[in-house]
Amino acid sequence: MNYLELISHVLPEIAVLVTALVLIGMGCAGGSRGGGKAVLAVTAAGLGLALAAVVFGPESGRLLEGMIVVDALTRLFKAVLLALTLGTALFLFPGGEAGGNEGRGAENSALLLLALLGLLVVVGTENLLLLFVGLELASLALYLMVVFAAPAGRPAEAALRYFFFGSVAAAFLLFGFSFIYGATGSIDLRVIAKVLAAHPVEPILPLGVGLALVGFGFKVAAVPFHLWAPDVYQSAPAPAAGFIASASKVAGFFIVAKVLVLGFGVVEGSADWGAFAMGWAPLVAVLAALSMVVGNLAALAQQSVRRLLAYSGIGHSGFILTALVAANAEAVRAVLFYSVIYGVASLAAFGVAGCVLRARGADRLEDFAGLGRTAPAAAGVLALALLSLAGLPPLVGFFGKFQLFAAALSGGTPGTVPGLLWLVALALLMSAVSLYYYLRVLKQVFFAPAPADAAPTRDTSAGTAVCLVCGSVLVLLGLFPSLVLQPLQRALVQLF
Amino acid sequence: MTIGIEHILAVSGLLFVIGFFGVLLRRNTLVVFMSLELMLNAAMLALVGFSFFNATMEGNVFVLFIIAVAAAEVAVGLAIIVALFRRRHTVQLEELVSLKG
Amino acid sequence: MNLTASGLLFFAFAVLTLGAGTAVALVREPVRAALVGALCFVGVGLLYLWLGAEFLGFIQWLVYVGAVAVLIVFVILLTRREDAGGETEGGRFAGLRVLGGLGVALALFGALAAAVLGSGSLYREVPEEPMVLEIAALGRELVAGAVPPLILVGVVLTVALVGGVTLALVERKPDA
Repeated sequence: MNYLELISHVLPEIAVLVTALVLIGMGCAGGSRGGGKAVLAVTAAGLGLALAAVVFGPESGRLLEGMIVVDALTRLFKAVLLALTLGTALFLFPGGEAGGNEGRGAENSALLLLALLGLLVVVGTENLLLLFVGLELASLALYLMVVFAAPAGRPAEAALRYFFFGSVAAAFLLFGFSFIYGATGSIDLRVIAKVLAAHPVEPILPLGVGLALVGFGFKVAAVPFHLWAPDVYQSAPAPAAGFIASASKVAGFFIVAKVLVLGFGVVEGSADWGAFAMGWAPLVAVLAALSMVVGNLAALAQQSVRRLLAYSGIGHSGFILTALVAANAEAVRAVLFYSVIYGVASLAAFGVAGCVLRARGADRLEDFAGLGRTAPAAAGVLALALLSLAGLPPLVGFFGKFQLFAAALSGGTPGTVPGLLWLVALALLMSAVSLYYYLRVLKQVFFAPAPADAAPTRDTSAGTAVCLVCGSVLVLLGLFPSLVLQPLQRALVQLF
Repeated sequence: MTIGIEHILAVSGLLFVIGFFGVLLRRNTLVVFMSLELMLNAAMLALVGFSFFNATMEGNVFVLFIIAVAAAEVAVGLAIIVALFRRRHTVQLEELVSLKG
Repeated sequence: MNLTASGLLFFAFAVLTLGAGTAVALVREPVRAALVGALCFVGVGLLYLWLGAEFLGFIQWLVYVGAVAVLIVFVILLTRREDAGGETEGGRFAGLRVLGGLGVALALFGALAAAVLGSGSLYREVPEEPMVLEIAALGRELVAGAVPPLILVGVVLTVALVGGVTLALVERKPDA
């Protein structure tokens, strides 16, 4: 084996790791003062370097029996994760004041980058061992980011809840992996798929996949493994919440789609109405249905905008899993496409919520009143993000949802009633429900008068830049979805 | 009667279920923590057992890494619990976390 | 039933492990729960030895019994309150909760048992030459095939270290 070859294939990861170590060093050297601008500059430079390494790095390669995989798809998603993290950093670390946690900006940034490193590894591997270690790295860094927040008490509770739910999910994931290993004799997804294609499937394999689904369900906050999400989204420091809601979720869907469709296409089963067959598809269908209903209905009752976004995120997990049930190339494309635009929209929404929180000290619906006048850029991008999440044309959310539901209906024999019609009908209904609570927020932003006594929220320069980028991505992709769809399509052709 | 993989899996499965039961039922965060470790140990036992009966080494290598990761997880978890205790002076779960979703 | 010596040994280890594990879930006093937990880890280590993974058995004792269990006992003693003896009971619904937990656990185990018993090809004979994990082979694997996870585990431990240290620093500042 050639270590140089290995290094050349993991240059983005190395860039992120080195940047994180530099930041840790800066944290030690700077004591509790921590220069905010310097931290932000180093973080942005490191992410930029990593992005360059992805773009100009090797185009394909499969090292160490699938431990390190570089192909068009992994490069695309590594670039997306890096861009989302860059957005999170720029949006949410403005000028060094990191929420109620002054002076720990360097360590916070380092943990953000280490969590990102975990996700990059997860995206770029087909080996269950590396997948597990990468997920654990991301989880541990995020638990710590959540607990680092203001010493007001609530965040640490959220961290504890997050930690226990995450650890139980990790145990289930691991137990599932051990059954998968036992049934196939391998921990390499490609080998597993080959073994499964050649041999009859034993019941312990679906069992293992089912147990692993519990772990993945936690990662994408699908009901009933979602209980950590509202608390964490609400009480985590803004950068951590933004990261969990965007990059972490994108990586979660990427890995769910890859593992289920590539590794275990054989044990899919069927969730078609009247033709249920055991496998992972019915399980995913149940998760999808529960997530859509619980997430969207609970969002109606929320007063805190971040809790509302958390429940809306749970609902969106349901929408995305709906398409995954169909498990064909079209479905994978729709799932990956929608997870990317969901990541962008939710980063924008969390960014604006974070700005309001900083200015007002709370994020109740009333605190957003008058935002349209005091901070037009933030209000505008919030409107774009929420309407895109709601799926209104011409924003990209409409196109993405259309793709998801079309993919879900495309499975099954042509000419008959599509088997997943029940799920898609439910999704459409819940999509309509979601429009109501998004509009509730926007009504406050644009039509409610700003309270006279409170400090108005103002746009910051870095924040405005990210706002503009996120907003233009949402509009541009809505008008020209092929900008992302075509590379995605090309990348998927190599896989299927 | 020879001991086969099914016996290993019975022990592992029972241990996992006992751990899960403990996580669901116990109220002291540290006991919940211990139960969590039982679940992890059960998963590792299954891996070692499969490694033995499949006669491949991957399972054993996997377990070696899990032990290392679990050590890090314990450090982080206990750090969170101690940090919480210093603020709230309790380690009882229901006094720390209100269980409404 | 004709048990060989090795089979008897297995059952002894299994009973030790499961007995101690059950005690963890049931013993009221947290310190005792942690101590029987350590015993359970010892049992799992013995099962590793029985399965030919000697190196893992020793690592299990070093890390789990020597570090994890001791750390947990230490934290229990550190966070113990004078006024509270054992743990508070879960109020009115305690009995209901136990039943619910038992139901979930039994359902999970039922699914496991059904799947394992339904998988015919699992019933292989014990391999003629039982695989004994050679440390040299493990070492070669670690510097060749398993380099990426090895490095990543180092990063994971760094995260834990940085997290612990920073948490201690944050906590030292007086609460605002």
